[in-house]
Amino acid sequence: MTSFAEILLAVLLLTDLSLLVSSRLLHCIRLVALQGVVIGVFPLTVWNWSQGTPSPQVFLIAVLSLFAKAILLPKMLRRSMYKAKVRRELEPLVGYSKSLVIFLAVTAVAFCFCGKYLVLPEETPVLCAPVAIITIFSGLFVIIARKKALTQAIGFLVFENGITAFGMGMMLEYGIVVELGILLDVFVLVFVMGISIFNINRAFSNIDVDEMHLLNDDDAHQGGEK
Amino acid sequence: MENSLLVWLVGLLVALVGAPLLPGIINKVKAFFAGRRGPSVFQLYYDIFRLCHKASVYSKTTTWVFRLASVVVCATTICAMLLLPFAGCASPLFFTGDLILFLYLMGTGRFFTVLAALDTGSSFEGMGASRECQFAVLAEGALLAAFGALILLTKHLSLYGILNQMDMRFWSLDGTALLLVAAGFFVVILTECCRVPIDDPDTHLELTMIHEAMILDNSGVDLALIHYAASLKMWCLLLMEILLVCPRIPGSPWFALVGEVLCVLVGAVFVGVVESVIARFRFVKVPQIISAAMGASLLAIVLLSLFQK
Amino acid sequence: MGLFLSISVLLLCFGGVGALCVGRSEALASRLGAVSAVLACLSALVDCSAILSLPWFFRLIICLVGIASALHAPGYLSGQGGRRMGFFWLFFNLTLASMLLVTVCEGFLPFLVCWEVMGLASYALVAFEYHEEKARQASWIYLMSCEAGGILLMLAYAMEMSRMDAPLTEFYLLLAGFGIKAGLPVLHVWLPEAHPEAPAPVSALMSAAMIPLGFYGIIQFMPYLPQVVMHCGWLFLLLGALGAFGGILFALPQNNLKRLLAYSSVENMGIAAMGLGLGMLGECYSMPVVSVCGFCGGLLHLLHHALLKGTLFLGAGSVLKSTGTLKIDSLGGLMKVMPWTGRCFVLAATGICGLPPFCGFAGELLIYVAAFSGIAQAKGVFFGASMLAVLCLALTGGVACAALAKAVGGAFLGEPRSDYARQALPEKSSMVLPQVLLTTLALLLPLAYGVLPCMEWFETVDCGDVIASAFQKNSIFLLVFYGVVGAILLLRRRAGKDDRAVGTWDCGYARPTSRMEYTGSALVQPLADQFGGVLGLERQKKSPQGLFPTSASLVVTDRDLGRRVWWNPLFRGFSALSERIHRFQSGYLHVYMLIMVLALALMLAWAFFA
Repeated sequence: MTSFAEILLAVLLLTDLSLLVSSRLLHCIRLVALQGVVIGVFPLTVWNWSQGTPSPQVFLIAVLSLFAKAILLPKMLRRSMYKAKVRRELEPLVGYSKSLVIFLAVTAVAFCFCGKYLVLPEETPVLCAPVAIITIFSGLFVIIARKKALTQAIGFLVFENGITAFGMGMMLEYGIVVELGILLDVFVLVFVMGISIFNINRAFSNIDVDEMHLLNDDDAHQGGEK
Repeated sequence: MENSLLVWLVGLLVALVGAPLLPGIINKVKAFFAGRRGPSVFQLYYDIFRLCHKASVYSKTTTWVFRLASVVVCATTICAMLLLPFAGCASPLFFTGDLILFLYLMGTGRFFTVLAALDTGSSFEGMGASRECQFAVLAEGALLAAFGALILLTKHLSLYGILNQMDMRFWSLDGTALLLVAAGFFVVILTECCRVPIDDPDTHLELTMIHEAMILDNSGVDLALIHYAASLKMWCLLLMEILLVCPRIPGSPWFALVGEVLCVLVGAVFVGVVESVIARFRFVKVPQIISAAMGASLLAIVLLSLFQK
Repeated sequence: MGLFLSISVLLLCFGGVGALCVGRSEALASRLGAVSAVLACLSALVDCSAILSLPWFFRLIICLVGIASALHAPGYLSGQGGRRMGFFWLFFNLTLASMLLVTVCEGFLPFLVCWEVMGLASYALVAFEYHEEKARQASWIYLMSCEAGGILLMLAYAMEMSRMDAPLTEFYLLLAGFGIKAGLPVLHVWLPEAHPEAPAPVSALMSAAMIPLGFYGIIQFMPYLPQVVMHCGWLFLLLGALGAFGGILFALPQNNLKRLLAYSSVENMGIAAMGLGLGMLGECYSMPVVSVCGFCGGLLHLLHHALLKGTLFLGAGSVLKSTGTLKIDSLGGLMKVMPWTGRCFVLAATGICGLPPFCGFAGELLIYVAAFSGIAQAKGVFFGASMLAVLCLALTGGVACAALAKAVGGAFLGEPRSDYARQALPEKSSMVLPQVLLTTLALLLPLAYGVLPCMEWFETVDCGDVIASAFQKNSIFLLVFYGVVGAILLLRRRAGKDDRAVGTWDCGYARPTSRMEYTGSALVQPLADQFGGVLGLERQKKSPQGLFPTSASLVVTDRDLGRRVWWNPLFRGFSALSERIHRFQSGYLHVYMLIMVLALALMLAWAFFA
């Protein structure tokens, strides 16, 4: 079954890549949903089935992840996108080709790093650590390098997926509690984001987080100079 | 013991009675240099007597401060004199640090003179007070620097200690430093007693006076008290200078007392000569002169601390 | 903590809260607050559990000034309304209680708590006139200074607790922390700001009783190691010399009466610091006379300063209440309207210059003796330091006379210079009483020094007999002085009978007006000009022009040296630095995230590779 886990991880990697180069918001949301499916199935694939059926905890987390990340959160994102009448174009701060180059560089570094320094348990898939790190990076990169508030939410989701993948791969004992906690965080975050995106939209007539620098207290008195 | 107290009392009495002679002598010397006959040596006695029999005139602006000031000035000067040694006999009131009391008593007198001047509301008196304040700061510094040098020399902390130890030994060992101190002290005397290079009591232009400008409004007994206090102050300071400069002669204290009084009178003559040959400095120059006096004493201290074992 | 002290603190708490609760009646609130404060102070005074100890000495100062301030406050604050009165008394009593507690606490942590309460409660008092912009600004500066001091003290406490063996660093923290309160030079900037804006009883309390507590803190809590004592002695001496001369120099050009007095407080704290510094150095160089005289002189100077400065600040408060202004050049002639305030003010001003018939002289005398002993006995650097102390004291004394003559002459003597002074209201007896009380004490204290039982204590100390004999002789001498004054007064009474009252002569000018008078500023102008560079004097002159000149003006402003050379450049540099850091606060969420990620990555890398 390990090979199946490896395939899933490869899919995760590909979605990361696709996320960084895609220019359409809807496409991004779909990619996140796909990542959610992958993450949801992932713990079941990592499990060594020869030792018997996994504990109910593993099932629980699989189901919860699948439900939240593959269905609920993407749905909310999509709803807020339609509700706020967001333009579908992503408006990147860092261009797509540059993003790609950076992504590749990070991928190389991550693989080197994990191969050299990271000592992992035997049964962990080889791809797990590097892909998780790359996913975490991708999430952060999306947050940093894309303008829209929605992409921030997507970034956080991806970021979270990376952490989950890492934890699942290790099959950490206390992973479930941490996992649930993070899931709750992300859920609240997206929820809040959804509300605030709507409000930002109303206030600024678009949802560029970029515009929020107008709230910078500096500009309150230096408005005339700029 | 009894004898020394008696000598001290007689010395004090002579000072209290003889002080008004000093301005008379100075004026006589000045008159001599100017080729005039000049007023009598006893002129200040006549003036004081006359003023005491006159009624005072007080400005409506003034308050009790003005009336008290002349009394305070006179009392502080008399009390300052009580601290001095006469003819090598210590004052019964002397104690460690009494030179500060001496100095600060003078300060009290000056403070009240300044307040009285301000009390009249006259701009001339304000002007005099203003100058007095300015020069007093430096004069006080110069006096304390001189005291510091003497303390360093004698290792005593009282007026009796620092003034009565001066004999030939000190002069032969640290003559240069002592000369500097004496010179600085002399400038302080001229400043404190409002004599010519610093202040001119005889001018007829109030704008150029310091001390006399401050007491323009005083009259009657008050003026007498102030004049008397000024002459007493001069006696005090001249006596200190004499004790500093003239080495003590061993012998009967009575003999020493007579010598001391004569020396003070000669000192007055010297002041008169200085006044006759020097013109009053411009006001901007005065702080420099007093600072130089302070500098002389400080230099003496440096010399002493370097060359004393 | 003795029974009487506990009673006193409880009284203060109940009185304060009670005054707040009876907010509807102003008279009731003020009476409750004042009575409780006075009773509490009296109760703390009779507490002789630790008589002649250091805390007892500072409690004595607090109680004496506390009584006077509490008596003065109802008159000063009348007409404010019950609600505000209640708040005032709450914070006043809280301040007083925390000050008493500060002298009781033995551990550093409870001390710090009381110290902070003291700072905050007095902040509320400084901000009492909060409807005025200047008061808000001043109280803000005061609060910042208090808190900065508090933080330094907490750091010192943390060092103490963490057993870091760095007594010198700890001492410097303590010195800076307490020095802010004590108004040591450079750290003094809050004094000339907060004192003029606070209500007069509060300025009196703070200037006379709270500032000295800074010294109490240092003496009580500094680590007593030879090296530290040496550092402390030198710093006290040098900072004291700077503070004494600088403080009084800056008092010269001040036109605000209370600001002038505040700078004079800086001066007096400097003098006290010089005394304490000489004491410590005398200890280090094993010169007992220097040590004993320095310590006693420094501490006594604090007490004398409390009595005299208390009177002066209360007097300034009475002036403000009766005329509505504190500008010295707008006052004048108040002696006729408020004779008792004037009398106390003149006498206290004479005393604060350290002039003889008052107690202020005794403290300075001892410091002088310490310094002179240093000159007579010491060699090398300590000799130089003693010389510096003597010169500094001498110059300070002279300038102090000029500054206080300006205050007295400008405010109380001469003719009224403006309508403020012409329409001054008569003084209230309730406000006069505390001033008379303090002045009488200040007059009697040097006489009492000759007979007080503490003289026996001096005899037991090594070389204490110097002090004992000096004080005894001094008190005898003062009796003689009063005798001479009395005699001359009698003689004069017999001499002059038919005195006449006319206008000021003014060299024959027939119609002198008050506009021709010499103002206080004019009085000190030559002296101030001499030190114009230090004072940072700036003139704005509008000369009269044309054949029929109409108006002319001259405005001279000074700039505080500590602020000019140290704080302003420091804050400017700080704000320039912040401006640079501010670039990071771009407002772009992406940039923030980038910074966070980078920081995270760096920290991870550090953790991984280190």
